[in-house]
Amino acid sequence: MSFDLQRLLNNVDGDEEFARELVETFLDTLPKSIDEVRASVQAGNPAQLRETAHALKGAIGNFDLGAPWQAAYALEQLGRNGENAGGPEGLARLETTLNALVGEMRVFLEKENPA
Amino acid sequence: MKILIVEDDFVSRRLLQKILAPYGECDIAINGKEALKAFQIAWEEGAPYDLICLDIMMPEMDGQETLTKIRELEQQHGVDLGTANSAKIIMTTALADAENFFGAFRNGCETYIVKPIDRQKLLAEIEKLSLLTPQ
Repeated sequence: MSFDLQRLLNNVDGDEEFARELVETFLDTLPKSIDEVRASVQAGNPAQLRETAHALKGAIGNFDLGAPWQAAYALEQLGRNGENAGGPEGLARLETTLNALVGEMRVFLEKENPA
Repeated sequence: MKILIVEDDFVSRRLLQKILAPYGECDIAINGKEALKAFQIAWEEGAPYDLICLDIMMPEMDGQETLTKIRELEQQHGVDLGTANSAKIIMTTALADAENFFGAFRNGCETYIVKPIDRQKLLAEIEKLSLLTPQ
């Protein structure tokens, strides 16, 4: 389990409706954020990678401090150190771990909003 | 309490607003340039901010530069750091390196909180600054 729902609920004082809104917002903005990280890796631009991975790490951190957060942090560190090597592998790890987080978030949204 | 939240990430912004709204009026800025503008307007209106939550890594102008400029503006208004009229500034950032940490204190912040945002930790720090009064 990656998605830390309990921490999120603690942060919003137990307001599940608001928690859902935050999760939905995160999911809405995630594709663009990943695209920006991907573009930084493909461009071999460490400064841009540091910025885009940092931004994504910050957003992920509101929901999870496990594998996706670690993957974003690792990419941020690559950028900070001015490195290009390891970018594609790091990006693949980020995408894989984010897929798991997104899946858990969708389960939460479906539970809160039964069709 | 009048609060300025300076944060480029939408989710983090909403979260901070949710946490702080019970304790005062919250304004929002999405980068340092907007924050400086809001800070200047607040001074001109005679209602400066009591608390500023300031992210560091943001587009346009980062939090360190914003912090420095805010303290310069306060000096120009005759307000010394640490006095009653000086805004209390909490850095809220995912940057945990020593350079940013010590740099922020050199530039005049009161508190440095490393993200992820934690409601209880944030409120505890605000309480230490004697600013916590539910509306």
